[in-house]
Amino acid sequence: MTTNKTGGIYIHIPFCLRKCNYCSFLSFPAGEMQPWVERYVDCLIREIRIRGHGERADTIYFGGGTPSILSAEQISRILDSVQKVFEVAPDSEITLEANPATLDPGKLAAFRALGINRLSMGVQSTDDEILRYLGRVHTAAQARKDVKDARRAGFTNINMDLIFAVPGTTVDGVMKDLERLVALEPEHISFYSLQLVEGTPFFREFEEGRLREVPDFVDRDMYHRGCAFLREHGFEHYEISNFARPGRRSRHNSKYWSMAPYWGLGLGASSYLPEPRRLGTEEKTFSGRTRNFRIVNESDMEKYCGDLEKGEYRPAEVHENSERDDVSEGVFTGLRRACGITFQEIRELSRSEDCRDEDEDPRDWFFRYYKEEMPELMAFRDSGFVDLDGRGMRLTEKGIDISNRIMALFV
Amino acid sequence: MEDYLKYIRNFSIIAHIDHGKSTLADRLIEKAGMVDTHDMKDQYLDNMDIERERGITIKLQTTRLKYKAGDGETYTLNLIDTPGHVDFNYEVSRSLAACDGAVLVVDATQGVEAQTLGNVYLAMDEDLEILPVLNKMDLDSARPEECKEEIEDIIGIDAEDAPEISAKTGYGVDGMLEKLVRVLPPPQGDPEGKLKALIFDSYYDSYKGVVIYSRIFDGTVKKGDIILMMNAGKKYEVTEVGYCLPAMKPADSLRAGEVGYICASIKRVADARVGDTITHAEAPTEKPLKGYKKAQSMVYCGIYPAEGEKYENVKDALEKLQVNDAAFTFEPENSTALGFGYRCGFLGLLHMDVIVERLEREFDLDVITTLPSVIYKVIMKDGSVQMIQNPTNLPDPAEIQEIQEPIVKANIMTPKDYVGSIMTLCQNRRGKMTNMEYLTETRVQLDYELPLNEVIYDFFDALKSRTRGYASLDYEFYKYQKAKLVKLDILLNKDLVDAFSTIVPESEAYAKGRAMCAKLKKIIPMHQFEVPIQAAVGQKIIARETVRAYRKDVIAKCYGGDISRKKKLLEKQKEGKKRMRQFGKVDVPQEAFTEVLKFDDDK
Repeated sequence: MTTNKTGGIYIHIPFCLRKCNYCSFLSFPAGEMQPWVERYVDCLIREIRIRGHGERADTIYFGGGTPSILSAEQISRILDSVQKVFEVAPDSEITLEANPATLDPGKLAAFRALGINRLSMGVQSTDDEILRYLGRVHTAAQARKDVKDARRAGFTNINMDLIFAVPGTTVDGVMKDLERLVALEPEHISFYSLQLVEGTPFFREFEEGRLREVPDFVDRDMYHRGCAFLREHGFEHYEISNFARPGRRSRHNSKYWSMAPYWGLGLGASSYLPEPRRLGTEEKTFSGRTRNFRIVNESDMEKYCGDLEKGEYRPAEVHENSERDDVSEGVFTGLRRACGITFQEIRELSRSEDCRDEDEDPRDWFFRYYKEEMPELMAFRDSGFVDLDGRGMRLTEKGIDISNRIMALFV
Repeated sequence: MEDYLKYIRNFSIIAHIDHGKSTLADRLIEKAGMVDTHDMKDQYLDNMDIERERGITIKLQTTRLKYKAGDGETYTLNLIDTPGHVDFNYEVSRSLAACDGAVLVVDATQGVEAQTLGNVYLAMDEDLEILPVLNKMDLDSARPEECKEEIEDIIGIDAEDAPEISAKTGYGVDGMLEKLVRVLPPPQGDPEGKLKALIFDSYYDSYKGVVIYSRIFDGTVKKGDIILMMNAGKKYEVTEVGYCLPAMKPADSLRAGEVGYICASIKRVADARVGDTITHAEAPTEKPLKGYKKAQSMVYCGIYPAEGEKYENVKDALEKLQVNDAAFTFEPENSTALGFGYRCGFLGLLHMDVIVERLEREFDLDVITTLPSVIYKVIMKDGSVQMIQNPTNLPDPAEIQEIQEPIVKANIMTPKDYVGSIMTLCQNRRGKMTNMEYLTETRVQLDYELPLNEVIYDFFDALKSRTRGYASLDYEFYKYQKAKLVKLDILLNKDLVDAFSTIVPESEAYAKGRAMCAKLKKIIPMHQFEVPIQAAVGQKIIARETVRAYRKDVIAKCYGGDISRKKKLLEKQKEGKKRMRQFGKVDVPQEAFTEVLKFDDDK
């Protein structure tokens, strides 16, 4: 149940050196936005003070954008305020997303000293030509150097992002990329395929016919061979796009896939919180089910800052999850994990409303709950896309390729 | 002549779509009608939502107006509405038969159009006095003098003094009414004679049963009379008569020359068919009025319950619609692809669209319609004749002597600039030109014999798009004619899907087969396996496309902020899937059944 899971804190830093050609995240080029950076940090801290009421959290994640663009001093102020208003566990995982070309040994050492114990590096490729094509501001050599510096600064838990299926690349190229990446000895790898999202330069090129996507079958070949390679090199494939050395899974991101609560702080950030944590009250529905909310922050910089400078926190959206919302989100996010879902955990998301018969086997409950979807689910199982047993279900590697279709059954 | 007759005028407004018929009717009702203007919806006469949306009239409305003329007398004006589409020609002719005169509305910015002409000829057939009126005079582009010339040249009626009005602003409408009572003749008839009344429309009311709109030619009808439908041969007792204001207002009787409604506890509109003659059962008139025709369906299609929709619900709805629409027929049929459903007959494609839309809107049903088809006449080698409504039922070609298809006479009017592209279009549709005439320097009339099959698909749309909407079309059934036709089948993943079968000219089978496969390739989503789409004539595969397998359908990254958005994506995917129909292992979107034959001629 959400209330039993410890929360995570996500902090959004919407600034980059420049925006990459494929990026659809909320972020601005820092050069033009320079006057905003300090103002934003101040407002972010105001938001943190308003929203924290001593709740427990055991992960903090600086995402972006490029959080490493901030000075150690700015990061320090943000962290301090978080630690003041939340009860942050001493062994918390504190991650900072960092892009090469924004780091130097001194800065890395300072970050480490602040208690940041995990770096997520946007390496993306080990081929300078591809990096340029993607619109990245760094070279492969710079990334390699930054990794070394990070090790020297005492970072023992580093994730590296690698993007594949970039137009013009080949399966061999991707395998070479992975080899070079693994040689840098990361503890964690996020290996994900390029997606064309509306509003990005790549998407426009695609629409104008200037960008030719890697064909699906090549994309999938890259993925499956990449997965095999990483497993052979000692990485656990624990989520669709995520791989980790034993014991090095991302604790923060795992919260997203297990319906744990999290605060999203900063411009456009999203939160998933039960009622008491949202309002600081102990409110439950009469049925005993905790009320959960998905909250999205204002994504207009001017408004976001304007409100907070008046001392007001005004989210852009507050959606109270229905029981069905919780269940379906639990299933589709849970299915992203290699371990899949257990019927028990999904049943707990449904809580009292449909649990009158406490003796009912969770599997029976699940099958009853998704009665109409069962014939199709069975068809997926029979074709080898889904593994099902008495406790739960998971996607097979083949099933991952068409995961949207399978997940769509449950929403 | 009876005195009261002098103060009655029974008339219709005839006009091309968009020339302002309904707007003018509204203006008249506002000036002389008995409804409060603030109760008026836009265009009072078009009372179905679909009609209002499409700007066309399907079901008629009749309105009694009172007008105090310049001579000091008060006239009763019965405005009898006519449907505004070629599919409903017969209904138009019966409405006109109920009138003594007609107001011909011509858009002064557009001039005379094919459909205007069609209706004018119908009116002339009924010997109606025609009052031409030029509408849309408020627009700068109005060219009244040219239009008057056109009316005189093309139609051959005097238009010199045609009132110039704007139905929209009300300009000139009083003058027009004055002219109307002067020019249009009063009705004639003997209220003491034997009853002779024309049914020109009817609809079903759940309290009163069928409400008949009727024009009394001779005699008088009142409550309690036993009436006889002369063509249907059925007798009923009159329960109520009255006038249409258009709201029903009971009256003691309806006399010769008058227009009103009659109720007689009739259960189906088919029993009070438009065109039938009402008389007294005890003292019948000698001969029924001429012009009665049985409803004749021209176009057929299958209507099937969509996924999750109940067969019974569809049946109920079709029955309810039929009660109110004598021209709509249906009977059960069975498709291996779509299961149990109905083969439905319509006057034309518009009629079909209207029925399908009503099923969806008024009855909230989710239905699949199959490709529309005409009726083929199949002459078997043993000499027997079969009428084939559903391509699937075409007998084994080995047993067929010949197949005949229905041919229509089509009349197209167009500005001369578009003649070339219309000729290409008609040629592509196997049309045979029988006449071409310059009506004026710039307007041309083209007469074609076209296979009905070629007209029902998207001919009208194609015509409109090639002429930027300027051409108009009018057609009527002409004859059955021998043609080299074959049945074209579609196979999905090697299985024949009967609902896609269609009858095409042998010479076009390859092209059509290829086009259908290509279209289906666009419509059918990717699956986890390859889906071959094949077109076949008999055992022979003549075209093939392949929907490639979908190998990737995965959200790469899913972190915190994205969950709501990702979920919406999945919801959309699920929603799309619901509208699919499964054949074997292949999902087919429902619109495929109607979309598959719509191709662009230009490509």
